[in-house]
Amino acid sequence: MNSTSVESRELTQSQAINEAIRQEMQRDSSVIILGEDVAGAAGRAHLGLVDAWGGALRATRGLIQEFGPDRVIDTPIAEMGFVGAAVGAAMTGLRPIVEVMFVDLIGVCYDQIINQAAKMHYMMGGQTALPLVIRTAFGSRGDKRTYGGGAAAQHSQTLYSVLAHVPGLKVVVPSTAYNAKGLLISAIRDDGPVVVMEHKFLGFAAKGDVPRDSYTYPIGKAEIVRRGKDVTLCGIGRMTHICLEAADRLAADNISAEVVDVLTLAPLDEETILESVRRTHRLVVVDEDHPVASMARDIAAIAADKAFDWLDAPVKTVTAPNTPVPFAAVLEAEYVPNAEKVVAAVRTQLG
Amino acid sequence: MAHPIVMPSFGMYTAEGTLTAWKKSNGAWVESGETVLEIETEKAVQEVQAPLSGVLHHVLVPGARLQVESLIGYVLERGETPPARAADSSQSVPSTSSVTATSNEPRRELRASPLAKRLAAEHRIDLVTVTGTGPEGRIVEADIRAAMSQSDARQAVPPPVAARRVPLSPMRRRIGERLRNVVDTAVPVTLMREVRAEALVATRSALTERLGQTIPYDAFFIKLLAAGLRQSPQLNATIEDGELVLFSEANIGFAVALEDGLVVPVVRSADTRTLVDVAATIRRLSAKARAGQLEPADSAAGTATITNLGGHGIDGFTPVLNPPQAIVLGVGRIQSRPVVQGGNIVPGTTTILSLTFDHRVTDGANAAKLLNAVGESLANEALLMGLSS
Amino acid sequence: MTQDLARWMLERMMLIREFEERLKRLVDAGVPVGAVHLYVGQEAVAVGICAALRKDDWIASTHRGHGHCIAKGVDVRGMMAELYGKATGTNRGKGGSMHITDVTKGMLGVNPIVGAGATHAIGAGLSAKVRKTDQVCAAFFGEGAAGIGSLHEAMNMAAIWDLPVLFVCENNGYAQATPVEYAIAVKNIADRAPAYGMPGEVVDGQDAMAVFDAAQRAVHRARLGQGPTLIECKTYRYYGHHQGDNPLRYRTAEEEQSARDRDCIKRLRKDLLSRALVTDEEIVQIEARVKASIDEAVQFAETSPLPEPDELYRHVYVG
Repeated sequence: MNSTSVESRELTQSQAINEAIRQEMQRDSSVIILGEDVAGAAGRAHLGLVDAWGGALRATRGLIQEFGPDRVIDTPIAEMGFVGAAVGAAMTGLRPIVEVMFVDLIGVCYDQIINQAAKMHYMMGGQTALPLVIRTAFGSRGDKRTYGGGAAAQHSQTLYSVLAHVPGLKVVVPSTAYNAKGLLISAIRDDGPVVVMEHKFLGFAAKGDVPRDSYTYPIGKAEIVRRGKDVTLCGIGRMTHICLEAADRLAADNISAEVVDVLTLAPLDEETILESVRRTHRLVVVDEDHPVASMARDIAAIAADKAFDWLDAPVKTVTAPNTPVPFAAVLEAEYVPNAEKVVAAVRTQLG
Repeated sequence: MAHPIVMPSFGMYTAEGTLTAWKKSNGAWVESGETVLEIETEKAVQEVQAPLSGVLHHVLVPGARLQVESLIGYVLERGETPPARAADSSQSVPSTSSVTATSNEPRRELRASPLAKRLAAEHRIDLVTVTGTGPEGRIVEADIRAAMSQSDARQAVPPPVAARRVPLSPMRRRIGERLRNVVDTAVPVTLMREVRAEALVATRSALTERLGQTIPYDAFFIKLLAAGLRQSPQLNATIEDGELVLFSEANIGFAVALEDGLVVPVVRSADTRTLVDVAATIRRLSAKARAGQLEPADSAAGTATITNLGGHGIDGFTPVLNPPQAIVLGVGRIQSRPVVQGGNIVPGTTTILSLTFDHRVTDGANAAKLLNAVGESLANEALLMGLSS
Repeated sequence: MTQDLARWMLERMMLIREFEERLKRLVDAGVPVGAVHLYVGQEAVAVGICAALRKDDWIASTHRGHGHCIAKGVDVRGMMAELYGKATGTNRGKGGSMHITDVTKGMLGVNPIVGAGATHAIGAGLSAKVRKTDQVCAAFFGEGAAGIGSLHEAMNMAAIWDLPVLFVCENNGYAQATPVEYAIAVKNIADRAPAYGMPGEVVDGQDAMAVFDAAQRAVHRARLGQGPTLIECKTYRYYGHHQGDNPLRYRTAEEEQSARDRDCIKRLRKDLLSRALVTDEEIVQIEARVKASIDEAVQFAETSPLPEPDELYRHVYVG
């Protein structure tokens, strides 16, 4: 990462994302943002009504006042249409940031993402760049409320594996306010299509020191966020925080866990993960996505192949079960991986 | 040039088939385009033609299961020998000589982590000898490391089986500790010399007759050693706190074997006492020792020791130092042995002296000087006779 | 319009109102039912349409579906229990507000994927046609959904196949925080009906009887195999997009008040009273019954058991 100023202050993940978008839009007039209610109250400025919503996680609040409705564009409910429009705009001189409100809606515009955006550059033999950023909210809550429920099966999914799956798409999953700003700026400056996955329950929760200045966090780099020697815990998004919590619990039993934050799913930073596993000899991958064809099993297979001779125990994955996300809070709490489950997985490796 | 005949892909989805029949026999001449075999797929029975003219060579037999591109046979030139059968993973023949891809190793239910297997191979440890302590009985890194340190210690040889276990007596324990200490601190070296003993034997015999009492051989050796130490005072010494401590007296101890151990009573100032006096002291202390009545003062202040195993039939040995002393003289049996005299081998009487010295205190030359002094004195009858006065 | 039906309509609308208002108070008091999208103000549309349907007809719905459920006869106790995430909920606690379903009542499910319900509705129409029954399906959708591709695909296919479907557009003026005059290129969504090859009409969504009339005509056409109809009901939601949203960020207080002045329940009450289809005492009784129903529903939800842990793993695959 490069940062030119030491001054920083505490921001939430949403605020950090807001700052990233604002700074890039200031820096480069070809950056635009579009999506449903990225501003809100569209067309009502003459009534004094403006910026009524600010995006799914309020990350785009305050932008329309600064950049105007030509660059902060509320769309009708038409994901296939406006994601496709973003693809076209990216091919013809703009750098669009398009918001798909929830990753669960990716099905509505999946063609534009996988068949169009991801493959344009390749199919056309490199003729055109496609500087498109797709931002979308994902994830489940998994806290211990006793009754009631969450956002249920169509608003709680993770699904990044079906995006990382497609060659040509970069997929990043920030975990802190700091790397959220840096990764988003990198994504905006990237000349190809990048999906930025923003965890719903980190948006206002994850607070951290964020430098005022503009800076990038490299796409394609995982980060060792805690050093250890007995086992590597690999986390994605909010699950990285779960891994850190598990590492604390293991430390109380004299088990030293190293935590790797994956951060970029595609292209995956295999070497950081493998180097860690070669030192600790054990790996647990924690992923709140559905388990079948998941990032967890992908990373596990890479480790089983390239770190085979260093493994002293089977590679374990801690994921959601193979079910839709249930509404009821008691069931959702069981659904989402937590620190206890991670600790239990480590214990099966150590005996 | 041998031209292979392989199973074609009869359309996009056919992946498997069975060779049902050869239409031309092995070694027959076939023309290009002639049907040579039949394959049955799930869809139909298909014919395969010879790709060119030549001699047909069968590789598989009817009944063989095929995959697309499986090698079925060859078309050879006249007189050509067929190629050697290379390992072909796509084919399998349902006969006893099947070429399945598994190895011929006997199966072993051995579970070990990849890391453990690599370490075991690197350090030449046989996994069969390792007990797994990992989950589900898996052999893990820790088990290999444990096996490595065990094999360092014991060369992987199992110890003998114990018949019974006996606790050590306090004396045994004490002896062991003292001797252990010697090995840890001193540097024992043993010099041996065979010396003529005729004079010794004759003198003892004469004195025994004259005095009317038996003079033990030990008395002579104690006197001679004491005299020798007076001549080589730097051997009558010990190392203490990095300094050489020279003793003022020559107090010579003599080892007495008891049933369950060893005691070393001391003849004080042996160099100043007469032979008869030394003999009497030996007799008195030995009796005390055998009666179990030796007092600490009887064994105190020794500066050197003699130990006589002649009575046990021993010729020469490596006596162990008696800490903190630097000299122990071992005496072997007095024996008729061939000696060389005037160029001839004649019978003589000899004994072997074994002198162990602490090399921290002195060097071999000085120790040899002491040994030689004792040895030469033993051959000097006049000198020996003079000891009694 | 029989007296029974008129009373049924009034009672159903009041039941919806009471359910939603009670839910709003529960949510504001901290009951963790997840996101709820309140139907208050739009009752005449759900009830007017469902009054023209039979028990064996179907409806498809949107995220703002509690009103549709109650109008179609789904039990409020099961609905409240579902909101509370209890095992006795309509969906056994696994769906929540945004997925409440009761296929026994012909309710194909609250569905928050915009435009998805319309495609399911034409599927139901296709099923009726193939099985040769005269069942019909009403597809509710908001004016925001008039921007999504699947809706246009559904309408076109319903028309080419003469499917027995009512496309009911509830135009309440706002898709989340985006006003209709910005997001939709035409003034009336029903004006697009000829472009799809079906009749369309604009109806005052605050007038339950007007909605009912339009529905009856459309249902009649559909049962005769004459194909789909597009009915656009102009209506208004009194509260935000979801409870917790402050709608004054995107609309004016005057506009809200103006809508409340045209309240559909007040209007129907006045209308029925003036036509002597209902008396004041009966209205009081209805109020009491409706309140008791909702009291009972909340009580039922509060005392019902939570789902068993292994409920998580049930119903992933069918059979």
